[in-house]
Amino acid sequence: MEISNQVSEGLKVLGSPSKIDDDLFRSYLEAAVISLSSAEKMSEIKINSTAEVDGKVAYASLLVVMVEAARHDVDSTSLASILEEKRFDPPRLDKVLKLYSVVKHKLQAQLSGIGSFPPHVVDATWKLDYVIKSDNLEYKSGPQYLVNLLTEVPGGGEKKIQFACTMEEMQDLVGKLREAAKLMEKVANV
Amino acid sequence: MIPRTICGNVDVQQNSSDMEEVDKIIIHSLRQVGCDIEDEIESLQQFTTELVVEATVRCLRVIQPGLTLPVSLPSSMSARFRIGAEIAQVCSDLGYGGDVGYQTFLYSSVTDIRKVLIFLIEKLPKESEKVVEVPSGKAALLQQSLSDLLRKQFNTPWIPNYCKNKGIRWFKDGSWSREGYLHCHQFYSCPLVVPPVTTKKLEITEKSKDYYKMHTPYITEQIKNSNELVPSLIQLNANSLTLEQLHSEKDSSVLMKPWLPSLEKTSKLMSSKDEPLEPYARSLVGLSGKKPIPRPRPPPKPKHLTEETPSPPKSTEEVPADKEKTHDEEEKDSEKSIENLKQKMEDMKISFEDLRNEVKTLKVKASQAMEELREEEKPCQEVEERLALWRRTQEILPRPGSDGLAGEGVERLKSMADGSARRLLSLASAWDEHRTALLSEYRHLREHDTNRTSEAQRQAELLRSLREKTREVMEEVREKEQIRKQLTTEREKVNKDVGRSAYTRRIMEIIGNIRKQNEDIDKVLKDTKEVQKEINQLTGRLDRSFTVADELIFRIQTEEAKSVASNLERITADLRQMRQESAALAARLERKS
Repeated sequence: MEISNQVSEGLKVLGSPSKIDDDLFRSYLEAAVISLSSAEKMSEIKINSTAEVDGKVAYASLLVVMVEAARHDVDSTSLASILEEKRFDPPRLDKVLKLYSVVKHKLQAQLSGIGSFPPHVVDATWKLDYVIKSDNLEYKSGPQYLVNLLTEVPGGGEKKIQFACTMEEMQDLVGKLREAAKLMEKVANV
Repeated sequence: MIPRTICGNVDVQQNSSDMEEVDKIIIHSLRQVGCDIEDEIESLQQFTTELVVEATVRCLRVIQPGLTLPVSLPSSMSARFRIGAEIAQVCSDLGYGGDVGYQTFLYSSVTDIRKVLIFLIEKLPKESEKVVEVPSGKAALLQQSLSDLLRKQFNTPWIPNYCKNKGIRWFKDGSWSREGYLHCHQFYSCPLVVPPVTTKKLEITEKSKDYYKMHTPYITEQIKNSNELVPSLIQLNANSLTLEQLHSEKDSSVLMKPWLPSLEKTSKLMSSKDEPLEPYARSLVGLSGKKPIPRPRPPPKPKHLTEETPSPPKSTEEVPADKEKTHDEEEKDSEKSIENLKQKMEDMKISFEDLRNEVKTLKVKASQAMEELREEEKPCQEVEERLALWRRTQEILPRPGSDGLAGEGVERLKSMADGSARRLLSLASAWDEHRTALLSEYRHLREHDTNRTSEAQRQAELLRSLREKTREVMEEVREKEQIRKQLTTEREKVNKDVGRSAYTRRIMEIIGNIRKQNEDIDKVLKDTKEVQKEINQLTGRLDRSFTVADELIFRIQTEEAKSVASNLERITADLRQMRQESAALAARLERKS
């Protein structure tokens, strides 16, 4: 995990009680919890906006460190050593670590959603019809599966993929899926 | 009764031959595990207590690599019991179904030990598994974590999509897995403005300070869309890192500048095609992002163009206000005038160009002339200097025409030379005095300086080592703290149980009970022995009385046999008599009828 000097400077400010008093520090922590774990409530954050210049730097550094630590999956002891190098006040250090433990998994979940992804199958419905007659030429009468795959397109809502297939095709599909599942299990049981 | 016991014996014999095979297998695999078993030992019956403990502990160590049980038994009895109990605990933790306790290992019975060892040897990791466990690199760790994750996901049931929070399934332990991609978004960031850290070295103007203080919003307020927060934070760090790397050689004062990359720097850094990185322009204008990106201003036009161009449209606009008849004429006029003006303009342009060129050439000429002037002045100066010298020498030298003054002049020159020589000497001595004093002072100061610098270096080193030491000590403290926590939790666990004295008391009680029971058993044994003796006596007596009774019965039987024979004879005689009587009676009946 790499942190720029500017963030380091901000952390030094954040960790010294002489520069940022305890009330302000607590309000920063509260704001950080809200903004990092439930981003949609960000507008509810209220910090005294005419605070000293240092406060803004410190707050920014706190957020950056949290995000970077979660991004690199840093455990709390190494985060503690990083913060100790910035001469963090011990009770504040504990509080920041607590914040990290609260926020870490949520941040990582948030990070996992950044990027471009192919449509993702989330649900499937199917129906088995028995066709006696159809306008298709040379269609043998027999069972026919109607499958609906519900996919999620990132940022684009849900999309249905619909297809029909005969028994043999269905068996083929199921066989392929089983094969894939078996491979996955093989990886899981290494 | 007898046949069954025989059968049982046969079973035992067969079993024991099977068991020898089993024992051989067990001993073989124990040797593979690393037990030092001598060649003479071929069955478990020959195992000593030490060997049993060693074998089980070695097996357990292979099964659970982190185990800290000792291989050999200590001499003290309580420690032996403790180790036995620990081994039993580990065995039952591993899933051993049967009864295990310290007695299983310390006072071993062959069958129990055999069961335990068979269980343990089955639990031993096989060769193929061993190979998998050994490699420990990044790739192996990654694969391990992958398989863990997959296994976890396999073990969870499917739930419908609407039961998840934004496509993420949360587990109770705080971990999660992403199963829906509806709420995913691309890496869109917006530039954030963060004021620089105020330090003593930093010099920012009062105005910018006021701006940072009063108007810069907190970074969470600078973001328009909540999705942009995390990407923007990542980019903030990445940007400042790259800037620092770029400027690390050139100047270290970047630190003191605001966290805002200027346009040229960023354009050097990244190509303009990168969309998320592009809107630096916005950051320069408005932080809230409400203001649009400013378009570049049109380049300032040359003066004569801006002056001339507005006039033609004016004339066309003014035309409709006049009478219609004059319209055409005026149009023509205006066209003419426009053309004239255009012509003029062209002419002026050309003349302007000419004039500019002329100015250029004249400037060049002027500079050349200046240089020439300077060069010309140089010999002039030299000549002036020489002239001054000449004048002075002329003053000293006798003037032509007055010879008497020549000697005077020489005298004056001599005296002047002497005076100057004397003055030189006195000055030299004075200089020497000053010099020695200053030199000594200088040396002294230099020594002092070197001393101080060395002192400073030493202290700096000391400081560095101290800092290193504090870090080490901090780490140590952290480790110690952890150990302490662990120990306190352990102690709390232990505290719940009854103390040691209670245990010893109970053990003493048990021992007393056992002693009493032993005495009882002895008594019972004595009783049974006596009873046995009595039984023996009684059986002897029984034998003797049996023979007596036998003889008696025999005698009685012979006597009885004789009496029976005579009785029989009598009865048969009676029978014959009765038959004769009945025959007589039957004959009488026949005759009557």
